[in-house]
Amino acid sequence: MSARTHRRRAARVTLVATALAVITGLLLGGLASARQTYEAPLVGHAAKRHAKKHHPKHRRARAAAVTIDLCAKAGTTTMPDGASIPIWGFVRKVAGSCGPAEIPGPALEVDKGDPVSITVENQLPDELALDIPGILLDAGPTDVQPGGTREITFTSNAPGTYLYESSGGAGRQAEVGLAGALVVKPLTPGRAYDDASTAYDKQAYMVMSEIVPALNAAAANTCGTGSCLGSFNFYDYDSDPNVSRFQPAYRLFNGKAYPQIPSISAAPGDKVLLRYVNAGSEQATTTMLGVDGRLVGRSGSLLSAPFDFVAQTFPAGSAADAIVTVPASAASGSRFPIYDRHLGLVNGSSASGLGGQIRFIEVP
Amino acid sequence: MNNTRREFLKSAGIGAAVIAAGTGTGSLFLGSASAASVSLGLVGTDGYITLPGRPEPQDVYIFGFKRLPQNRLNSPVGDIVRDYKTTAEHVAPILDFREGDDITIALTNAGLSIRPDLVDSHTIHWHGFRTPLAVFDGVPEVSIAVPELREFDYFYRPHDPGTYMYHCHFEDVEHVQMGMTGIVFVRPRNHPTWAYNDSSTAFDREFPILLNEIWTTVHDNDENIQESIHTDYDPDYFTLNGRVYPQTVLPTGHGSLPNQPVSSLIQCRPGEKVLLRLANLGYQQHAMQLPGIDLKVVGEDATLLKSPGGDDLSYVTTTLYLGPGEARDVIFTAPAYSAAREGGSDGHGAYNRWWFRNRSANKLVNGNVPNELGGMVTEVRVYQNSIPDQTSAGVTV
Amino acid sequence: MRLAVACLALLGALVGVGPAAAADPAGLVCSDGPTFNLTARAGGMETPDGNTNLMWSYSTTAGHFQTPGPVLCVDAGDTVTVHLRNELPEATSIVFPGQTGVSATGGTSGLFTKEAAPGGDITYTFTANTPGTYVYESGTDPAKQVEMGLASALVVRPPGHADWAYADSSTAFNGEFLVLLNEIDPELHSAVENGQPYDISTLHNRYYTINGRSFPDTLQDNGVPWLENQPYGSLVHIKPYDATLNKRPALVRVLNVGLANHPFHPHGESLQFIAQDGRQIKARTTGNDAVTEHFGETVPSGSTQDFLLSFRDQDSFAPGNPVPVTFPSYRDMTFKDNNTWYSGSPYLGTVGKLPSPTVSQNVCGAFFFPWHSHALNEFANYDVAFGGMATLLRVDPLTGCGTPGLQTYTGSPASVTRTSPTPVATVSNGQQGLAALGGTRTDVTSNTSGTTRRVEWYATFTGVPAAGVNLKVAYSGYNRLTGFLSGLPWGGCTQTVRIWNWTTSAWVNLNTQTVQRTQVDIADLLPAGPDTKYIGTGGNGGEVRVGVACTRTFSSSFLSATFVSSGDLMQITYDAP
Repeated sequence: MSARTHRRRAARVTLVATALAVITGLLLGGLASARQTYEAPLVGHAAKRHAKKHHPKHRRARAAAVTIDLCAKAGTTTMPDGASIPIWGFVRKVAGSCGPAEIPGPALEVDKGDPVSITVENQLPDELALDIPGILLDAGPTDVQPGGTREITFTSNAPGTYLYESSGGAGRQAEVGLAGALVVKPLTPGRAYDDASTAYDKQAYMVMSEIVPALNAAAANTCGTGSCLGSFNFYDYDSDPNVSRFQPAYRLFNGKAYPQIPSISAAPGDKVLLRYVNAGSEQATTTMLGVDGRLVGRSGSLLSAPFDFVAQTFPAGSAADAIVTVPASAASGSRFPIYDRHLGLVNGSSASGLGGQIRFIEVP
Repeated sequence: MNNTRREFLKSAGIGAAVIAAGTGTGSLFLGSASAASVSLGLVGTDGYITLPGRPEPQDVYIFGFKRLPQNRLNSPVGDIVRDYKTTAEHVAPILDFREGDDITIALTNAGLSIRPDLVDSHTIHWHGFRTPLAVFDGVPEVSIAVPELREFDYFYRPHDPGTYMYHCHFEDVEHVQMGMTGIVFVRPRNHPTWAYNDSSTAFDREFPILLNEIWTTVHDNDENIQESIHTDYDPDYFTLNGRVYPQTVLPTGHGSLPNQPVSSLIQCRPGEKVLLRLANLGYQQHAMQLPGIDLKVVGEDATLLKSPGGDDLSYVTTTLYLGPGEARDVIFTAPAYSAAREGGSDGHGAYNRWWFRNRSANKLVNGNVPNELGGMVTEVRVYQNSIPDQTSAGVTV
Repeated sequence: MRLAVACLALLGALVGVGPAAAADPAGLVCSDGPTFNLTARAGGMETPDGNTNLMWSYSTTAGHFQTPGPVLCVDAGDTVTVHLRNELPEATSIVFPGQTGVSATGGTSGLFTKEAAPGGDITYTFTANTPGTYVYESGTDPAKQVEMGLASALVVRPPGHADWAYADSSTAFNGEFLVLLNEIDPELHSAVENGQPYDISTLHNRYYTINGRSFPDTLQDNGVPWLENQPYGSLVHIKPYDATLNKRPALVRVLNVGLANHPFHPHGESLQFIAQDGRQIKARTTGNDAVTEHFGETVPSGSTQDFLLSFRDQDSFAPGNPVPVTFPSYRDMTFKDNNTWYSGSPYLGTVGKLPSPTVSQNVCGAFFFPWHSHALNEFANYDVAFGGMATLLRVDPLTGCGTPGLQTYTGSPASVTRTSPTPVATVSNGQQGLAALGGTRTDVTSNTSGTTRRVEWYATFTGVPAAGVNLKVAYSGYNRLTGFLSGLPWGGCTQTVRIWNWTTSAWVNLNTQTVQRTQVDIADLLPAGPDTKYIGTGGNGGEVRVGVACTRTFSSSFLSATFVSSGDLMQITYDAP
């Protein structure tokens, strides 16, 4: 996709976007709640989604503007071992106010061709830098000053799963939680991409991240006018020159560690689209039992040679779309685990038992 | 034969190319139907590089390669040792070859002046070369190593275009970490501005970038006659072409970096097709991103991504994932210039800045220097106005 | 050593001991199914630096402890049954990533599958659906049990095509190799051994293994007795591609059962990546094989990758088609630790001289290439480099190893080879004027009296520079009966090839052996230095004399016998100053 195409499309729908912004905002506000789970993300346009249910083959004639309002703010999350970890996270602004910070940030879903506007209000002490690898944002600044807001806009014609983040603080802001998944949906519902081979029955996000407690603690502390995130030293030559202080203690799916990760419910024969996003800094590798996955695309790019896998590495910052077919013969109660094959399956240490990235596809 | 090859090299403008070996753009980009003989010389020795945040004098001891000027190819070994000992560069000189040529690389081991007690040999291992003769594989245990004060001629006739690496394989756990690493690439014989023998890989500009890590503990231990335990590996600097950001965007041959001559600054014009020749000779896996610009991987490990049946297997991605010892040929189209985008200006005028960076936060640091973006980061500068053509891969314009 | 292993293998086949013992020296060793009796138990593994690590592993219930566990081989469509007995101090299990519909009988429910209690049993059953390479491993507390070693390989073959990787003729192979990657933190294993707390968050790997061994143990044959718990070698042993003689590639099954990803780097030749996790890679729109070649491939933890390998030299470099560079004299070479896999010759199927006291592991001019993790911190045994996750690719000459006619390559850049000496008969009877015999051979007849008969002759090379060094001698010839006995078999004579020492005025024997009617090629004879004493001075300036003598004692009934020393080639090689 060329830059020129993006800009032209954005320009064409600008008027519509302005007109719909208020309505969209109201609809979003009506749907949103603090208890919204990561598996039921808000779409940009609720009415549209409803219409598709009745006309699954319907292709929309024109794009509709999508407006998304987010806050970036500090918060905490509690790990299964009881540790309270300071985080920075995105959260939707609903009716003019923002709830607690979330990790990962709320999943954002837009349609192919939608002119998208994302406005971020920065309630953090440091300047943010917004980006969405794989998507060319419309020309304009992407920084968000403390206390300020910034609108970024884009139109994507490349369906797929993406990472959105603040890459400020030399990448540390995303590492302490300012990252989430963004999905561009094709015109045909129920597909990951336009291609029919990517049809699915249900989808689940697999946003992976890790927590380095010392780094998160630095984010919560004040150094001068900002946080101590930027001055956190990954190396402390005085204590041990051989050991980096990048030592993850927790590894998460969708911001949670086992046993707090909800299962994915799927019926026998279901094609489950797993939207993998690695928001962390480690190269993450998962394996699965009883099923295998088909990797059909990465970050808006349909693979010309999709491949089946059991274990797969999802590099830092990458996103990938994989389809797992639940065996038609699967009995009720069957569980298919998906877990971190680097086997960091602990929360903090082995002393607190099994933890980390373990999730099940479960047949109800 | 000697005359022939010297003339070839002279006509290729090699005398001026301190950084890129082989060939400058002058004759190379024209292509040629006939194979040529190319000779060049490398010296293996020790030296120092500069990294921010190091205790004074900010120097890091290295082993490395240095390219001999062409007029020194036939110098006696003793003269080469006298003149080139402790002149190592990191990364090693970029080697730029052409499919089908007969290539001779004379490696002279000039020894280590800081560690005269270490009588280490050196070798050249052309990493990824489909090696017809094990003797040129450069693995001392299975072929020949070059002892101190000796010279050996490596011979290659490359048949497969693409991006490769080369490094010393003598005690390579140490010598590779110490800096004896570089990029070598092979151009299609008749299409020097294609990455492969396929028109879909045509490019306007090319940038060889070697990913690496530096674990200063090993360098300091070597300098101070201490042993290192390599299974303790935990690097503290993450380099592109032997430099860390912000060194990476300084021009080629910058005076502050006398032994790190290779820039990673990616300079281009809107609409140009830019080839990144990427390789990883660190010991860790890396995920590189260029947010806002789609990256098309056209080749991996010096192999065009096309199936035997002709299927295009190239792919577009946000994230280039390179394990140690892997190479990627990646093409992107430079986006339009916009004054509304982030950028700056340099001697070529205004540009938009796009960050080409490692995605892992722990690799964007320079040792224990706080409050500074560092490590494996460089910039793509898309200029508003025209800029000169490249003279040689890896040389800023 | 090879002979000894061959005997061991034969014995293993006869008495039907474990599959590892019956194996070929190199290559994948199968435990054939589809029913397997496995026991999870503890045992030791040794590292080349002398350490022993406690491992947990699967073994055949009737067999010896082994790590990794046995390679389970079945055909697609087989109903696979695995009985597991647990001799570990805690519950354990097996999961089969990549298999569907695995059912478990007995045991108790665990998080990922049913488990066997300590001392208990459990049986897993499934239908092997798709050919390919798979991992099997513990599904119980995997951060501990997989790290402790409870993992190995399951190979599913296409029925009727044991020499295809998949049900696809493009995957036909000749030679099958296992490369199973793993790593060990000795502190964690020690904690288990000593009953101390096990904390995976302290993981710090020190040993890196292929098929359960660290380099250089990886090169040892399958089933060597001194690595009794680590039966699987990983030498990849092939011959070069040839359109008629060796058309099929080798199959390399790579599995990573470790906790870390491992970037595997094959030297010598790129590998063709055909499948991951037991699934061939195909183009979406055409269904064509989407094969790509790699010289470095990071193998994700828990995954398998199948590769095909053909070694090719499209330039056909050989002594008769040499590379256009000269090689240094062997006396200018050094080899690490005076030990090398280099043959002394750059060309496949030829050997050359190496400096004393270097020992070569290369008997027939094979090529060796390391294959290793390019995370070079893994190319070490704890603190000793050139160890760990590494093995060698060995490429034999197309005609095989040990075939006659092995060529000698002389590496010295300025060496001169002379093959036209002037022969002189020194002891003969009735055969004077050797040149007159002409032809392509030099024939000299023995004396004809007495029971002990002898032939002696020499030939003179002239014009050898006084400072010539690295003198080497070669002689090819045979000895036959003459007269009315000609053509008959006989016991031959005791033949000595020798060189004249001008300083002592005496012959120096270089080689003595019995040579009969069949020509024997004797090459690379190296006179003890300094070489100058073999080069004449003064009136004999520049002369080198190489002699042949042959002696035979006949019984009294054969006193009419005479014989002929028939020389085909006499050659000296030396470095010009």
